Amino acid sequence: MGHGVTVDLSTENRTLGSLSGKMIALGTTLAVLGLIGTLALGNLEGAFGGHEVESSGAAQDSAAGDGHAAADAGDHAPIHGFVTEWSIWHPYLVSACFFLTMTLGGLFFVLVHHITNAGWSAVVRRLAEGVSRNVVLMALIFIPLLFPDSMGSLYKWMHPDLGDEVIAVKSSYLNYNWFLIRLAIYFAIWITFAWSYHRSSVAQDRDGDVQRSSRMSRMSPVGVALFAMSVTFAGYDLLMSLDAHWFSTIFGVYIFAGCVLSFHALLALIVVFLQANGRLTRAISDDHMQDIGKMMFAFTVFWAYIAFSQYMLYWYANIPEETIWFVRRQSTWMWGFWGWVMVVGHFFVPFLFLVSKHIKRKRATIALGALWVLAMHWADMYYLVMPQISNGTEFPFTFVDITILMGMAGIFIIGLALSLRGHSLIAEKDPRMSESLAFENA
Amino acid sequence: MSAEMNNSVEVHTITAETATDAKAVLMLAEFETADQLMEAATSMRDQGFKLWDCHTPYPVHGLDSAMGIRPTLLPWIVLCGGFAGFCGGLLMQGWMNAVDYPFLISGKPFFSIPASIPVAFELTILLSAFASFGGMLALNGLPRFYRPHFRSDRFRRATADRFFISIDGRDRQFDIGANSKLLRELGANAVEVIEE
Repeated sequence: MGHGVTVDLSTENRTLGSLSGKMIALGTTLAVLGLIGTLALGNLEGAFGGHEVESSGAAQDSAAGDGHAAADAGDHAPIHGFVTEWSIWHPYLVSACFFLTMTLGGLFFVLVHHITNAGWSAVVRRLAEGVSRNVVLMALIFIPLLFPDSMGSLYKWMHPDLGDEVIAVKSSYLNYNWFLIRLAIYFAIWITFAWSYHRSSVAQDRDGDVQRSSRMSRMSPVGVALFAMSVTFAGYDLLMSLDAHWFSTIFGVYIFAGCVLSFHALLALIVVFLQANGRLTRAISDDHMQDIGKMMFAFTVFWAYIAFSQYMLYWYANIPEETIWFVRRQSTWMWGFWGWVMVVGHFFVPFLFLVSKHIKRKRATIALGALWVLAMHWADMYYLVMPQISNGTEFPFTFVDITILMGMAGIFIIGLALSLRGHSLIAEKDPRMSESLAFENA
Repeated sequence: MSAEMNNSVEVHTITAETATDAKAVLMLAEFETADQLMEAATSMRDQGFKLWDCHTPYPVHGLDSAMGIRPTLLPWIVLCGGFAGFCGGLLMQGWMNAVDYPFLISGKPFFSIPASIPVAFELTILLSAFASFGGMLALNGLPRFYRPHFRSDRFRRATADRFFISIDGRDRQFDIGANSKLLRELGANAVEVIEE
């Protein structure tokens, strides 16, 4: 009566089935459109043309293509820790980090729900495992970024200005080879955990071995510790080192907040999408949606807390080498406006929107909130990468930003379809499944 | 008349010793299991009772909707409390630092948003907590030192292993004969009336 009524899993449509074909078709369309758009619009922006002419010359030419070292190599040349010239790799990095953070959020979800032996999340954990496996795809997406040319057009520490002592001091850490090794380590950690947790979970579908769950639980603290280190340093390497002079010890936590927030938004969208197509319509209930919404709400607040912690300490201490990062983001109206979009759009709007229980339980409203959060997460990544262009004085938005995003979204969707097909969409024989199916918010 | 008498069920009446003009103020029905209580609560709700309540030794999932309890006003009270804390925190600091006693600290503006956020944030939390605690007490009519329920010895088991439905004497459908019959039919193993 009323309570304790569980859904019979065998009556649920719980495989991707024909949906995977549709997802792959959609993904391919997006990827092709994104590629064509990027090539066409990128040509208009001179992203490819100029490069070809230059690359016929010395390799140094393109590496020094930030306009400063080349233009005024005299005594009064400003020494920057960042590249000021736009390149196609800037929007590429924004999009790649946008999807990478989401994927890593999925991995964190899997690990942390094993650590806590969480009951409620068993019905959606397979979806998180599917998302986390996309990290393989992200490794492929990051490969083009790792060539010296593309690295040089993003990171000033690849070719520091003459007399740049700050970068000289950091060069034992910030150098090309060590950077590649570190990225290889990060991806190795992520791929290992994403893959093994997914494999073990799918194997449990077949044999129902409870030992698998306890083994995964036992391993997950190791996973989370490695995850914390790797995400922190990946944030430092990929995004913070864009300005090699600047540093923020909280930056890794900031990236982590974005990871978890954006993943829960993605998870809500995946659930809404699957249920709209008749998958897991009853297994994932309003109560599960409410919990996903709660996590979105919590990490909206957490993100704001971390973002403000970083901001306020630098604002209060007012040390030039620390504030310069924010000065660049506040001295022009457009980046100042973008900053307010972050404050209002990334915190106040989702905070007030997601605070209500009814919003979190209705599919249409939670999907709207999730889309908004994802848009804001993209804006956040953009805010981390782009203001270094022209020292923040020019607005670097081009339609390549959109087309690259579209292309990667296509690839991401294809990856998700491949990752989720061929097995159940739900961890069938998870020992916590009946608890999860019966889960109700008090 | 006699048919009614035969149909009536056993009702144990407890009367307050100090009562001069004893009147029924409460009706208690004891149930063995949570499932019985849920069923009974659903039925009570459908019969249109208003001033009644359920008493359980532990939270029973789904009882709220079985009883037809309307969503509480409390979240809105908490929201108002939090909002008041946030705005109040900003206003307080603005008035103190920039108006009442301007004091230059490390070259910062007398009033600035970043410096004011931590206090405003803490006050948001504080007044939200006060609003939720105070609002909860007020909405529940607490603190209250006495309720007629306490006259029943049986009712003590509501904190251990029994489930109770109580009907307030002021409910428009309060009728000892009809209600006790109904409660018995719903599975109550004892019905008590408290007079005072």
